[in-house]
Amino acid sequence: MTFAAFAFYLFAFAVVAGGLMVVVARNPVHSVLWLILCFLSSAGLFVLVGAEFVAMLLIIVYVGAVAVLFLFVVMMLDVDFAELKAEMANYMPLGLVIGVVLLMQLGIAFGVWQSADIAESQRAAPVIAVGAEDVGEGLFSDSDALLSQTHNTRALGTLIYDDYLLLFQLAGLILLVAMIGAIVLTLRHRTDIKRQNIVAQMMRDPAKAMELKDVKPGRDYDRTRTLPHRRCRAVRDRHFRAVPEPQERDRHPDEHRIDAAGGEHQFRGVLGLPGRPGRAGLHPVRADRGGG
Amino acid sequence: MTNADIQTVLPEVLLAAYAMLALMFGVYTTKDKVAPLLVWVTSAVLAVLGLWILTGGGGDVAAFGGMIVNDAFARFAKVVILFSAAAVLLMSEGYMAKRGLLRFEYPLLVALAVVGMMVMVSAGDLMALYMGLELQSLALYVVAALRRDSVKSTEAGLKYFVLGALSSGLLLYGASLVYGFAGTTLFTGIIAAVGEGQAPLGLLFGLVFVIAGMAFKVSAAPFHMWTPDVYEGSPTPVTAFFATAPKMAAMGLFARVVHDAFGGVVGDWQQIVAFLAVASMFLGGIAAIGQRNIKRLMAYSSISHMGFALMGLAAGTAFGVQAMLVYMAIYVTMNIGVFAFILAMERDGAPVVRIDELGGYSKREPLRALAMLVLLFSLAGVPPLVGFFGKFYVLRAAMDAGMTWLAIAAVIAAVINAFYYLRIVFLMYFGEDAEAMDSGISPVLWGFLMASAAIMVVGIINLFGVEAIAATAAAALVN
Amino acid sequence: MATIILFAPLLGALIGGLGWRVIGEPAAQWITTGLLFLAAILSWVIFLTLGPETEHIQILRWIESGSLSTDWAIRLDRLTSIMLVVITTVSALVHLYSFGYMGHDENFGEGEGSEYKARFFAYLSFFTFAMLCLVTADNLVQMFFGWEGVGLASYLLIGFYYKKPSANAAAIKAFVVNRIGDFGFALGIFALYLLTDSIRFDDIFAATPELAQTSIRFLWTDWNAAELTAFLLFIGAMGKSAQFFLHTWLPDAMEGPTPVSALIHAATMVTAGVFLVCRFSPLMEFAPYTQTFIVIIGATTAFFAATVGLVQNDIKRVIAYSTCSQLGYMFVAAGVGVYSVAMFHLLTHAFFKAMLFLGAGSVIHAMHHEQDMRNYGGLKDKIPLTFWAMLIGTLAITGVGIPLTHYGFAGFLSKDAIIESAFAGGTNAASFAFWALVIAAAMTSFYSWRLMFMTFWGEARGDMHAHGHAHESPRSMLAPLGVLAVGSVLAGMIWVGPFFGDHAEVEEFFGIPHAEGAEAHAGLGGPELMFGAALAATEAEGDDHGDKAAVDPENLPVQPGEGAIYMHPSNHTLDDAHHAPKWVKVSPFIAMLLGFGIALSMYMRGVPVLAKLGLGALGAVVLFVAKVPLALAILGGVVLAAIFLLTRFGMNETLAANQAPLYRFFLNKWYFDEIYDATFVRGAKWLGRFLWKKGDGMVIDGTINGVAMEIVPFFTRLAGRAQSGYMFHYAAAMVLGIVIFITWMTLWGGQ
Repeated sequence: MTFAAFAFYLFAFAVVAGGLMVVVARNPVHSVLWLILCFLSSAGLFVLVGAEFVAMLLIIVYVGAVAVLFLFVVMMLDVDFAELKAEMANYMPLGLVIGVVLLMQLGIAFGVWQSADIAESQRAAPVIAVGAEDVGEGLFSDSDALLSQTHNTRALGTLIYDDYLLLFQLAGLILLVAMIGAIVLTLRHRTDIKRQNIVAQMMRDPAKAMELKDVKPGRDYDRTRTLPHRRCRAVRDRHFRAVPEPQERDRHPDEHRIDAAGGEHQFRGVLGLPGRPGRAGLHPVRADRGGG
Repeated sequence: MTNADIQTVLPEVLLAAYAMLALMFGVYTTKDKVAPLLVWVTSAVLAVLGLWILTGGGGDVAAFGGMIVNDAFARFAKVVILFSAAAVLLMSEGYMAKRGLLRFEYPLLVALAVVGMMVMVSAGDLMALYMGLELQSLALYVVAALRRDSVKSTEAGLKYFVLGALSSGLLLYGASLVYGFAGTTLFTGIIAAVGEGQAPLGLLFGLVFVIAGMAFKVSAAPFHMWTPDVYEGSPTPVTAFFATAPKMAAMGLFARVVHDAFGGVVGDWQQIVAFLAVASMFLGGIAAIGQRNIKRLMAYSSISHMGFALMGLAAGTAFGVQAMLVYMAIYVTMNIGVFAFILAMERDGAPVVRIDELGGYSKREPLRALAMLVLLFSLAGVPPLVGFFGKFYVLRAAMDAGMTWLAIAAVIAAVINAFYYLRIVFLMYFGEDAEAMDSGISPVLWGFLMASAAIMVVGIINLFGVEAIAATAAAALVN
Repeated sequence: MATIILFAPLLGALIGGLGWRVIGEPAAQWITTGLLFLAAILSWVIFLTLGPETEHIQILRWIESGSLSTDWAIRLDRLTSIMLVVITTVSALVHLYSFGYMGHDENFGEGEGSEYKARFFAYLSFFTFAMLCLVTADNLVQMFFGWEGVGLASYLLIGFYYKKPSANAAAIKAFVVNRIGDFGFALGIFALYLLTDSIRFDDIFAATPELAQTSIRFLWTDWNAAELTAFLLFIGAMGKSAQFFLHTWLPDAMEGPTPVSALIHAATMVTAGVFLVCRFSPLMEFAPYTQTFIVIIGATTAFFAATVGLVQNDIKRVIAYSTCSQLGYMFVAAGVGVYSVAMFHLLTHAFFKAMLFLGAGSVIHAMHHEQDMRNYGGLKDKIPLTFWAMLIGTLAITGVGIPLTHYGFAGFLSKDAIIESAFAGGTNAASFAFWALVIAAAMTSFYSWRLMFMTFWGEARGDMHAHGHAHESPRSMLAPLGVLAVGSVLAGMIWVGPFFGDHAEVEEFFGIPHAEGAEAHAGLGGPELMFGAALAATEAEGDDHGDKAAVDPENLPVQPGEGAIYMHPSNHTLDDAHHAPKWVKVSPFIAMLLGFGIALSMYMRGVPVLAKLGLGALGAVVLFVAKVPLALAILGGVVLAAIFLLTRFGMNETLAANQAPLYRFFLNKWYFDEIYDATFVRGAKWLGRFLWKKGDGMVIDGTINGVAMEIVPFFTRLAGRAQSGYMFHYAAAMVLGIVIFITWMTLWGGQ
């Protein structure tokens, strides 16, 4: 057994075993770790077939970014997998039957597998278009040399930006849509949080920001309470004027949420109010905090 | 890479470019305040592109090494997609704005989805197909969940997304099997590899998986399960969008794959498509009977209509494809009208979706009720309305192909389907009076409702010549 | 002109039926009647000026479908013109008559629905239109339209008193029984279209010689095409003309108003069958077996209806059975091949039978809608004009005239012509018909005179109040009686030549091209022998069956369809009839005498013996004149006188008691209704109930309801439950779908 063969079997076994463990591992964190093993082994396989660029991509993008992201998400979400599995156990027999049937039939299909007669010729590796300019620039003496000396990365790049330009661009569009979607669905400009507005801060001056009040001791607590409130409002008003208002959008959905989400939200709110009458005095403090 | 290739996909390129430009414009200007403007502009762009393709003509052009095919079939589907998307966008403006859903991304997502659809219907390659499909799907997942603060809407988006991912997985698995067999992802290569006559089991498995993936997109039973939940949960204009353009795109894709890539083994997929057709027709009809929510009802309605359209496809002939195209064009037109009506169903500004609330509607809004009646009759396939001709076409296609049993089943299913359409009519005209709904209706909705109803009546003269165009389109697809 | 005749009644029906609310009832009545009189006058003009050529007047192109091409056209020939005259004249008179008769009717109370007159007149006019459509038809479809149109009108008019259950039942009965005939007629049309690829009369007639040599498969048997089609058409005629087996509706149809009975059920509609057979004479001539069948059915009907008529007590039913019987006469004439004579009797019968009905209507009117003759009596002086009219009608129907001459009432000439033709027909069936008709003639005479005696003579019976108020009918009712009386007296004498003259005269009248061959052939057939003739003729006829089929179609002297009627070269019944022995010619007269004498003795109190003897002597004289040997003539006279003398007043009751089974048999119309009720009606009802309860109720409704209300909702619930909202359910469904497809492919797809 050559080293290459040994390495192939090692990686292949690792991929299969890792894939299996991803599915059966009890702890989701472990699953993700097994997945990483899978990726790494796959990268090894790619190296073995000489696709070192793809192998590196796999490691950098999948292991370095995607899998780590997975790990974070799994840790953050704290999904009770045990419960899910208990739920799944109910359907296990049926699922098993279906799975076995499917597997057997696929087994049959692969058992009698045959490719089309012309498959082999159609399967020939994509030919890199040899640009006349490449030859002409003297980098390569002729096209054969170009083929033999072109390395993977360059070949891939040529293909992607040449034969498969359309698909590549479409993939880009898909990512764009994914991005837009993620933003549309998650970006939320809340109105009740503090946000630093540097311009506003710089434009502040004492005349506008401060107000002197002659407070009579023990008497006008209310006014002291309203003071910061009003200031806050003043600041925010300016803030409105200064930049396009991102919050505007969200106000409706928020209001709408109460409608849309059904009685639950409202119900809790209504219940909540009488529950804490004594804490009414805290409100100004919160308002103050918001204005700062 | 030549100019010709770009030329071939110019509409798609322009639309994508427009979407990105508009995105920049929106982000760097007033964001959601420009949304109404963007809706109108996008709509106009879609309509103009549609007109351009409609009038442009052109032959049977393959671009990007055969990955993209621009033939009469693709153009037919694209025109339907573009026009219906433009119409639905226009209709949605009022509704979305009223409920604060009108974000400037919405028209752009629709535009990008349309780009995906256009790629789908002119795909000449499994990869291009998949790219188009995902571009479309991803945009649709997002718009389904657009009302992100509604549990239902997000649930709809999530379900759609997860199940869509599953279906994409199936499709990809099938595609890989097909690739394994044929050694290429190009349809031209696949059909050459498959040849005529018997296909090996592995290829058939691949075919089945690919069909399953596409059946999910056309929401054919038993891959339809997402449809009612998504239709119900999504904002109504989005539902209207789901029910129109993507259906046409998915049917176009379906036809394209089974004919362009597997045209040599018609007998093998014919049975599966027929099964999908029958299952969809019956399930759509039977399940809709139990529905009181008009959006869910329309979901089942679209399932069963897809069944009828698939029947045309199951015929496996050029006439079958023609019938399917005619059916889809009619179906899309009808649905635009019906959703215009549904969008106008409001009480005190809040949308109403229960059909019982339509009781006595005809007394308050005789004209709108009449238009809806026409549309529902047409949906049910009552002669002499246009909807009948759609059904008639697919039935004839099935008969001509010797699938009498399928035609008989379809007729029975049509009867079952008629029930719930007629129940709405019954409620509107003879139902117990429900609390009055808002009488106002935006001119846009009114216009689409009336135009759609009028088409159902006037179209019986010659179907506006759609037949001939569809025949050309079908001839381009089926050789 | 024919077009005007055809559409005037339709116009009247539309105006009267739809517009009377605008123009008022009297105006509607006047308009319909006026239009009918116009049509009648024009009809007479046509009848008297008709040329020998058959005219085709196209009105519109009607149906174009494949090889079926149908125009709506009027075929105007002698047959049509006769029918036009009959229909429009009687109809016009009946319209007029209805002014009086329908003037007040307690069947329609006050208030809503009490306006019935316009409706009645509109129905009458509509009927007339339909009947005209029938007789002017140029093709079978058009004829069928008229055929069904009169059926509809008949239904509406029989059931005119829709508040009376019996009237409704009678209307339904008439309609249903006619359906049987119509079924045959329709089948005949189909067969003719199938065979000749045309429904135009001209084409069909021209094709008849070929049809006679074609065979067609029907009901698993091969038939001669001409025979089969002729037979099927005759089935239609049987239904419409109330022939034996399909006659049961006609007496019940008397539930309708009396003018209706006169118009539809005496003069016009019921003769449509006769008209049909005459119209299809070219076909009938090539269908000898069907002709035989027609003769037998006709004779049987004539005999049967007469026996039933003997014992009926309802004045209208007596006349109804009389009608039935007379129609049988006409069919016998048509069956033996003397279509002209059949039409002749049709014409005369229309006059006197319409008059009898209208007279009866007048009596009923006078007696406040009492119809039972046992409650009449002695009305001669109270309603003298009606009496005279009825008397003329009776004389006409019984066939009073001077034997061996052409002087007599209408019935005398036409009926005798039929009886002579039947004798001359020569076949066994014709012989049977001859005797049946002679006996029927005696019975006709009996029941007609019985009617007269019971109604107009004797003492008043029944409700004396009604008798006290009996009054002569208004002038509008009497005028038609007068007109018809003229016809009843003169029609026979005027037209005996054209209808029953020598061959040439008849041919000229009916527009048949003159053919030497036929003439020459006819000359051979002049039998002189009295008794041997029948036998010889029988044999000759037997040979003729072969001849008719064998005649080369190209060499026929007259092509079928060239004239209004067609007589095959081998058909010389008409000539034979003229040469019938004299005893045959006087036989109906003797029969009439016999019936009259018996009726006289039985229903008139105190008839002088001398009178009876005189009647016997008259019989003897007539027989003697007819060259019967003297001894036989005297014997006949003595037998007649003896019968009269032995018959006593009131003997009818004793006879009824003595011969109770026979009496009841006749009274109950041979139990036809009962038999039909037990077999067909109950069978159909059982079948209907079975199909309704089990077939429709359980199987169809059960299936539909089961599917619509049990199975589909069950699946709906199932589908609803599957739509659980859980994503993994959805995914499972998808995977399941995949597995199904994959399994399918593994099992049945691929290699």
